[in-house]
Amino acid sequence: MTTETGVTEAQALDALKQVIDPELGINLVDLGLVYDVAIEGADVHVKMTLTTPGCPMHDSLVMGAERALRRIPGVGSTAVELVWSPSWNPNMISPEGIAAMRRGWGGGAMTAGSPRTPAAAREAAR
Amino acid sequence: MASRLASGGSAPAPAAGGLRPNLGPSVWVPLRYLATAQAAFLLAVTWGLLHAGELADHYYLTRTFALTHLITLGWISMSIMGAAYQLVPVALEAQLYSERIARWQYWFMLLGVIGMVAHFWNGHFHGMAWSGSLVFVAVLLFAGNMGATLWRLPRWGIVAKHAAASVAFLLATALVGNLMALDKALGFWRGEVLDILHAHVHLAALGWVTMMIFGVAYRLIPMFALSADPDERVPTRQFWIFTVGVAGLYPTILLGSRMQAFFGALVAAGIGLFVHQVFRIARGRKKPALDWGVRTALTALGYLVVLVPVGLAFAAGLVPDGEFASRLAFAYGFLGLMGWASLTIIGMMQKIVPFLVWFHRYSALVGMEPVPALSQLYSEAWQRRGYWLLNIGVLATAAGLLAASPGIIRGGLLVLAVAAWTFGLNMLAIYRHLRGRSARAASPAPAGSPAPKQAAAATR
Repeated sequence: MTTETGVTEAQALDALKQVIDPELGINLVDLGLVYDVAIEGADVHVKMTLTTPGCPMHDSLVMGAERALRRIPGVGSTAVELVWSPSWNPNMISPEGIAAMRRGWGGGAMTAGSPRTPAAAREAAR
Repeated sequence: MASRLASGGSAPAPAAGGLRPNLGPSVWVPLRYLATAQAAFLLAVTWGLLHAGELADHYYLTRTFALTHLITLGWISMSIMGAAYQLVPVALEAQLYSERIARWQYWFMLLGVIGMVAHFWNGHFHGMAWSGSLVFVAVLLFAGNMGATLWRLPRWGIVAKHAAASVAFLLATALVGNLMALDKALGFWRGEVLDILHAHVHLAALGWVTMMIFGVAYRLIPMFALSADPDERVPTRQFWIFTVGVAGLYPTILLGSRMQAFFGALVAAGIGLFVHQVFRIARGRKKPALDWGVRTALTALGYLVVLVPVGLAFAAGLVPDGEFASRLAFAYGFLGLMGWASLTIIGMMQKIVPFLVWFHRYSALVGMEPVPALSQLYSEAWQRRGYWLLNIGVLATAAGLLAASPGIIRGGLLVLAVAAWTFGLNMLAIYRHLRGRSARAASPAPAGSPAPKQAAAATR
């Protein structure tokens, strides 16, 4: 969806792909953590999860996601909401994420690949 | 992985809007235990190499006890306590009851271990009483802290059950150990000294160490292998069988009862169920290749599997008393400590320590500037070499102990020392990031930044 300011879901997903799990080398999108991206005008609202509810990395990952979104040219307000339903599971990792792990750290994280959509992540959770 | 391990150092976020507060303690709480444990490990292996000839004698010697307690308390217990403070709150999704108690406990434990090792070395058993008491206080503080953390849980899952049993067995081990130390000074305990020793060793190794490893592994192995968490039915059966086995094994070994074969079989069944579960988890993994930390921990399971029939043979009285039994018991104990426990701990440290350091140094920079991946904090090549050296050193030393050959023991310990120092230097490389320069030079990069390997080179 393209807004009047030119912010698109693809731009938001590309921005979120810049935030990378430091151990796996997979970005938030290919790891399947991003459940929904809603754009209203120039405002971006993201629903994402973490791999486990006890994870104390939420500060850095949520802040990292917000910072990445704020870098989108022309973006208005940004919000990242952490949700726990559905629970994340390893089947939510995209084929690009698996390929990135095969190649070793960072290989797939830097490339766009075919985007893993939030809808696909939700589907994998079912 | 970042989003799965515990962390600390930053202030908890407000628990509004779906956010949950940080659960792990400050990184300095586990790191002080883990770094001290690593120092104890290096000291123990180097010490063993310098006194390799003494290890060809019987194991019931005070100097061997000094070395053993440096390994069991300084290396293994310090590691498990540090790792438990980091991992248990995350695995249980509950905040640690008290960081302050954990800090105080560290000093009691450190002074107690130094005192115990020094007094064993000198054969001063009166000094053992006060140093053993310090360790006992440390154990009480640990048990209280973990107990209070567990007490507040609404439901006890498989990790909580194992953690609670492990802490209970640790308390029992420390109590028995203190009574044994007092007995050396006061001579009140009537019984066969080797039975008392063997019962104590099994209580610690199975009840405290193995129980905690099993519990934490049910959470960590799926995390690191990217597998689904296991169904709790089989792990719950495994927990009860193993717990009853360990609880029954102690008094039956102590009394020289034939029932030790029965309880030994329960322990073996518990171990078998655990190994089966781990293989199921590993088979269902999404991660294409396991890293060297996880491989090291999984290899440790191989040592545990080898130890089971040996332990059962002793329990069933199939090993006739004599020189061979004593050599086999020494090799059995060594493989338990250095093969099973130490490889597990080294493997898990290779996952936990880089994460803790990364979190402290770089997590606040995520999304602001390029930060390195965890794998860029250490050398994977050193991990790989260390893995092979460690296994060769452990197996060769065990063979030397079995053959009572000072030459083979010395050769095995030399390889083990090289492996230990390789591990230690790799850890040091990680710790250097605590005071390192800005993460600007490191990788993963938004567009336009250097490739990961170039960035990794820039950070070294």
